[in-house]
Amino acid sequence: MADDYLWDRSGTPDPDVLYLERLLPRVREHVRRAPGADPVPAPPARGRRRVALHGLALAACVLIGVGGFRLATPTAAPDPAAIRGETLPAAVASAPPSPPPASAAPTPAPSVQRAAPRRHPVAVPSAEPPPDELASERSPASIAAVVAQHRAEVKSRCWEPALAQRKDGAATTVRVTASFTIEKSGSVTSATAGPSSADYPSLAGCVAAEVGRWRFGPAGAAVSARLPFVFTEG
Amino acid sequence: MKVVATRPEPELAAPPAPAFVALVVAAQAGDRAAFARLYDQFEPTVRGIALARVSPADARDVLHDVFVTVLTRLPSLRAPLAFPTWLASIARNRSIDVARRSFRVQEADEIAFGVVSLDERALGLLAKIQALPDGYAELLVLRFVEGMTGPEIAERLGLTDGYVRVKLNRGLNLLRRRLGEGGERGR
Repeated sequence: MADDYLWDRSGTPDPDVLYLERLLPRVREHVRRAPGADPVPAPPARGRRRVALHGLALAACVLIGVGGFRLATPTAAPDPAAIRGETLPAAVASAPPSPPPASAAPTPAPSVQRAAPRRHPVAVPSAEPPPDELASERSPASIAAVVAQHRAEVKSRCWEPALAQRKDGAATTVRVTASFTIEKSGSVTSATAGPSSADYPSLAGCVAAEVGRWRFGPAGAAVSARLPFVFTEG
Repeated sequence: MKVVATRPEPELAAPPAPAFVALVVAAQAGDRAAFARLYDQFEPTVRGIALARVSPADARDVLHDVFVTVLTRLPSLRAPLAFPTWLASIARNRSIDVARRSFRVQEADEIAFGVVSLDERALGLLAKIQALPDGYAELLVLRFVEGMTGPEIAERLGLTDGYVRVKLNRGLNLLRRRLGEGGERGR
């Protein structure tokens, strides 16, 4: 079926689905585990009233503690490692590590796994942003400089041949927007261009191919860019 | 008197209980390691349910609150097999509470000649998914943000395969329409 890939990743991949699969896991990077939080006790045993009462009392203490923590650090997220019972006595903490979740995505690991080491009895606070955020950003000006270097090539390799092949009555002005990703290394990936013009059918493809060959300087993070070209006769 | 011969019903072997059932039972008995494994297994589900409704910053609070609630209420769960739907219900309710008093993810504007980071683009897409009608956002977030397959989503939410498959399809088509002609990929 046409939706097999959407359903269970079998069959022919849909380009839109691939795009969403590649881009959207980045959202998880923004759901970070916060460093440090009060531990939460184990759930009370069922049917054991005394233990249950102790558990409830402890839970109340922890909830108060967590509330205090959240009031004190409103932007910090709690440490799920503590909730998960990882701040445990050694005897329990030495239990075999749990397997990865069955439903874990095959995409890059979320940032939550970059937080305080797991199985650590005390979560280590770290206010440092991940390396990407420390690295230099790619500025629009630096991109514009590379675009300027290549503008004449786009005109001579794409627009002028398209003009030569156009039919009578074709539009004298056409707009093509290139969309592309500049990776950290400066190479261009995922270059596309559109819309395709009936008067100049090869123009968009040519622009995409040209843009795909551009090279930018390295930077701290990949960015996506949209670059409109307006081609006019004369 | 008419005697009707009856054919004995074949004994059907009960399907094996999902692996999480043993963990739920153990966690109810106070096994912390079992609770930790439950957390590991269901964290993506809870995070996905939250991200379908609230910003990533709020989602981490939802994640925390939900598991604190689970921890305190787990002993009262009578049917361990119902754990996924019970957990999803807690996560939905908490997410809805948080969403009512917070803002949606700000959609990143893409400016011609400008540059937008892939993270901003992802957050913009998330906002568009969140704006889809009820029922679609959650499945799309679990599929694309959490990377689950359709069968995994159905299992985690206690839904039928057919329901999830249809909803995923319709949700994706709705998203395509919302993203407009040419789509987000700028084709």
